[in-house]
Amino acid sequence: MGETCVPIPAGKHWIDERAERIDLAAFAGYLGQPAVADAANGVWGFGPATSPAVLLSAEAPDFTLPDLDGKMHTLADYRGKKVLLYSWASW
Amino acid sequence: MDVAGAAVVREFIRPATVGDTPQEILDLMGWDAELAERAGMPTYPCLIDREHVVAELYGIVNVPTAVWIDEAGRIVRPPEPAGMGDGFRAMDTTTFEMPAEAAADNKRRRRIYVDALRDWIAKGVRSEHALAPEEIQRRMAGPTRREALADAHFRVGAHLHRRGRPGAARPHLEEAVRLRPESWSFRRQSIVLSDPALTGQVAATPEYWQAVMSLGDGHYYAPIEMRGMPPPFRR
Repeated sequence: MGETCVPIPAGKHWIDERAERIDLAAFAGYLGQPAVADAANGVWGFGPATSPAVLLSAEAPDFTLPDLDGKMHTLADYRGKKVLLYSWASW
Repeated sequence: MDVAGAAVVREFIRPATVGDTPQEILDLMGWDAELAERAGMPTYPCLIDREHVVAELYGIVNVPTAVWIDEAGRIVRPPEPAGMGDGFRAMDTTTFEMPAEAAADNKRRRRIYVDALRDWIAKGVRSEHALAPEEIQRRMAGPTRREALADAHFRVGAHLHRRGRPGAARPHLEEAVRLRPESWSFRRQSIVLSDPALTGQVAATPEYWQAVMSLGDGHYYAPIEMRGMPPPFRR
């Protein structure tokens, strides 16, 4: 899903500066994202924020994906044109 | 998507005359000769979304779902079934034949949707089908905590599966389906991940049809809020 830069407010109890560790579950809660921890398999997963930015602006969330030949396409590159975003599947 | 999946997509987008397509497929898709004659050549890019990135960003839970985005990058119609209705639920699950009234309903919906799309392309913001930001916000409520948690489980399950651990992935995929039963994307992807041989075949499996039939009075495709669109199809 790419990278996101998040300002970390001071004094949050989920930051252990001495041990240089972050409580991921609490951090996910701060972002408004649910977290799933699978300790047995060493995997964490974050869900999407429950208050996405699209609610404020109706701006289409951007993404970059490959086509069948591996060439990357970014939605924002189609500014200036109408876009019909049509999803299909191979199931 | 695996190689077989890409081959299915290539097959789907290949230009074909109506005469090459079985009647059962035409009925299912709501397609007819006149609409096919008006269709342009497929010059659009076809993108592969292995990790359901777009589905998560836009809240897409089924296919085919479409979103209209204007020249400024603003959504003018939120994710909605692209002219699809529940008429397919009346089909014979062994022959795929559909009752005439169900096939007619599918064609009507598809026609209304395509005409609305053409109207927006021609008129832009003046089209009655281009919705204001306030209406987009009303229709795109964003995921609830339950839905977002389902997305997190699905993400973990897909990750474990890619790492070659299908047994570890299964509980997360099942939990995603349990938390978000309206997501046929989760349900169908989970079936395929459990048995890759079913790629392209899921809609013909008893498991799939059992899940569809268990909907009862519920919708498979959410009703489309569009002027002229008929109420949901009922047998």
